[in-house]
Amino acid sequence: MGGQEEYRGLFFSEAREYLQILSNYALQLEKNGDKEILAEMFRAAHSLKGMSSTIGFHDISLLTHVMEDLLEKLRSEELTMTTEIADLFFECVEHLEALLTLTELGEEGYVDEELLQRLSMASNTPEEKDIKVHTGLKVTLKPNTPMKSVRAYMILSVLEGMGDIKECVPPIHDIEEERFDTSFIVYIQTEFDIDEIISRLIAIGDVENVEPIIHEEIPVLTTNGDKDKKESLNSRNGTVKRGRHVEKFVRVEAHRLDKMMNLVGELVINRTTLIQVGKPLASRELEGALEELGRIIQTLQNSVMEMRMVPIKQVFDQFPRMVRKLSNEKGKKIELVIEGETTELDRSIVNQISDPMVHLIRNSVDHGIESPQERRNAKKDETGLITLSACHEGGYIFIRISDNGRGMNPIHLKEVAIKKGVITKEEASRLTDEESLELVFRAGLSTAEEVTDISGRGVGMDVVRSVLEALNGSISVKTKEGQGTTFEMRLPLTLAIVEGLLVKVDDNIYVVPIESIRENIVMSTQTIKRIQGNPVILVRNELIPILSLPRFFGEEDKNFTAFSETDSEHVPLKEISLMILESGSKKVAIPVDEFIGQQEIVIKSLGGLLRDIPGIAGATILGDGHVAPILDANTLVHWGDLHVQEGVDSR
Amino acid sequence: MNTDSYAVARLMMQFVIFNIINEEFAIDIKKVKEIIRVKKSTRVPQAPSFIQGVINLRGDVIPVVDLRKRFGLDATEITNETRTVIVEMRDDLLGLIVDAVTEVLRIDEEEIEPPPKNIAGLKAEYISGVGKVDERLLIILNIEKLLTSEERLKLESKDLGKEGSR
Amino acid sequence: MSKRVLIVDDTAFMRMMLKTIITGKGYSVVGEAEDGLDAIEKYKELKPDIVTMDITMPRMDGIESMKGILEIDPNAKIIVCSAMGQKALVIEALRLGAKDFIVKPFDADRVVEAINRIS
Repeated sequence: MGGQEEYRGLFFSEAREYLQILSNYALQLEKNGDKEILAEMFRAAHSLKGMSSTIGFHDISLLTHVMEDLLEKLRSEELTMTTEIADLFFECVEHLEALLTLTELGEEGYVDEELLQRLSMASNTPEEKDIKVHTGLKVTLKPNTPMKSVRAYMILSVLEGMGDIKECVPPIHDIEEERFDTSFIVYIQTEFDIDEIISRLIAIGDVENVEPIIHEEIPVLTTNGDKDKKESLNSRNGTVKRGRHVEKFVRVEAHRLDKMMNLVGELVINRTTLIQVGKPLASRELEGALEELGRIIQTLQNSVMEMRMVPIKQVFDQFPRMVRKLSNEKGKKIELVIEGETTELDRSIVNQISDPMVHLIRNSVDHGIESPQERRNAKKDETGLITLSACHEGGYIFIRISDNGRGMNPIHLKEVAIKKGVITKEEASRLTDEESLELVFRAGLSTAEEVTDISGRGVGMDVVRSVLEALNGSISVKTKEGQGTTFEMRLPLTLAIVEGLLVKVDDNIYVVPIESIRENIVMSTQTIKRIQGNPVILVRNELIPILSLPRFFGEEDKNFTAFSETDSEHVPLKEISLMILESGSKKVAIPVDEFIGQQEIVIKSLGGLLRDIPGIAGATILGDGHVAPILDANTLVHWGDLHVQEGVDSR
Repeated sequence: MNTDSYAVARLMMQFVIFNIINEEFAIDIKKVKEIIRVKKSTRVPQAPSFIQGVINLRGDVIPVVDLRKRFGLDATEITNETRTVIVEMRDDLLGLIVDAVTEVLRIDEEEIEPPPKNIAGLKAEYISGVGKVDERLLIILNIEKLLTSEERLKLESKDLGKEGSR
Repeated sequence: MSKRVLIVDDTAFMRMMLKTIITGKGYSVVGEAEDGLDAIEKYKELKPDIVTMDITMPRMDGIESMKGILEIDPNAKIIVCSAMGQKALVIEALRLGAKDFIVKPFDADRVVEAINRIS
């Protein structure tokens, strides 16, 4: 699956943890052959083996497999602990470390055959000593061999009769399912002479060739700098590469997928161009063909998107440990339940939601769940519950973080907000309970130095909200005092392509993600009201500030200069179109000259020089090849909010 | 191009030479992706004034800088000679509008001198070096510095009087 | 003296194919059987050096037939013939003692090779 790359980071961080365990215990091992220590080490080696073989780092898998064998024999007391063995484990840990580092650097690390041999020797029980040797064999079948898996079965059967198969590349179940090209590698521990094995294998039908895998050089264990490592590896590649296998998964660099997504984006744009060009022709055939093209592009887009999808598990997986650690620190008892971890979403989104989630969960632990004592007093189970869930619903992904803790009180929130100067008393008095809860997302509700149980919720929540909005997503909160709080994040399935509305303002075309548009209305300028000189309109009893886009961008607004004047008499009487943008529960109305139409747009970055322009989220390429800026609703709404607040305050 | 590239031990370096007014400028050819005619650009609100806008270069959105404006002059008038030089800066592409691209030159490394304190009104920090070919003085620009600095510049060319007023 | 082969297959066409492929390559076809039971009878009677055994046959399938033959002669050299998609049966046959397998549609070279290898 295309997401393999995504697991790498997780793999390495987890692998290092296991390595740490192995390394710590190897120290103690020397002192005594304690069974528990052996069991811990065995588990670590076993986990590493499984992980590395899953992700395709077969050399790491091979080494850990042999370590596992040795540990198992120590554990079952078939073997007794010696200083030699302890030393050997140290060597293994160092070697694993080197392998991991190389692999992480994108180099191919090879397991040290000689070390493997010594491990195998060490794990031979006394009667086996000196007879079994570790051998790698690459078996190649003839091209177009029918029933390859049955051939492989014959080969493996023969090998099983001659020794212990330690590892296959690709893994044995892939071989059984014929997920290999013409060759596979078997590592076997055997007392037979290698030539004997080869001649027996060659005798099997359709076997073209059997060759021993030879790692000519010991992989870099000495640390003589990265440069040397690379050189020594490169010089080896030519000879050892033959030993590589074909996997059922093709590992693709993430940026190639991005490039493919871009190309799909190009197709979307080009189709729009064709539609525009073709319109005057009024050809039914052309329309039909374009429709078909649209369907194909849609399918292509979906498949590329699927390739970019990765399970949210890789974000969720960090949380059990985090919650355990945090709850211990805080002296709380917390159970974490994870649901829907196989839910997939775009890799670019996965990369960005980790931090906001860490923040939300930390908040749940810190401020949501009460201390055991407090919970007992409240007649609740002293173990608090945090539920983390993800699911797909109607084109979106919902991630919910709920706790059954103390919940939040809207009135307290208001009080804190007033105290902190986030809102005034008057404003507070107008807020509904729901709106009061929204205060947690406001900047400055609380400071890190002065965390109270309620206000602590506010630390950084404004940042969480802006991250989500930058992803075209949103966040909401529900709470019941004494019963708990749920934060719900809503995210689009993908970032790259969204529905957008094209609007014209002062001869400039802008694109607005449909997601941010609440509604478009036409109103008479007569209905414009003013609060402290700032124009607002009243839509269904809601005051919405009007924001002139040119004025926001610090330019002259040819059509709506009147808005800046306090005297409403001067507003020319006419109909204006307003686009109402929404972010959170806030809205802003933007006058537009023309609604051009709705289309799929491909979001592009404006590049380093233009990255941080307020109000602009990026750009897209229109059907005619021109570029149009994409408006950032979040910033615009926030601006409007400030202004209406100002106005309301001084009314 | 970094400021010490004149000192890098290479025998010959290749440069794209272009004109602004009658000054000759040079950019390391390794930084130049392509040279295109001027395309219609889309203005980006609140962009720095010397950024003329953004263009669509085969599906990539890239900013275009009017070098005349960056040098504190009036915007470039588009003529048949005007070109956009697409360069790579950090990982981004961007276009530089120049009066004309004249040639690609090999300059002997020996002939590249460290930037003088001030040349044509430009401070040394915006210049990677000065190449001398025959009687010509080629100002090798430090594009990155030029476009990330907020300082207002004023190009002073001997020909500015007659050119600047057109 | 050429090796003697017994061909077991329920279709005359496949028997003919196999016969054409192996005759003259140092083998002689000493007999043909149409089903598993027939095969066991013929094996007893002809004592062939090699048997090619189709898997799917009426009355008694190749697997059962093979078991019968191996009971009479544990050293019997049997090559199973299978169609694509009979992987599990082939493995079963190999486990029971078949020496090799060939896959239909037959590739003449592969058939000859297989017979050469076990004889």
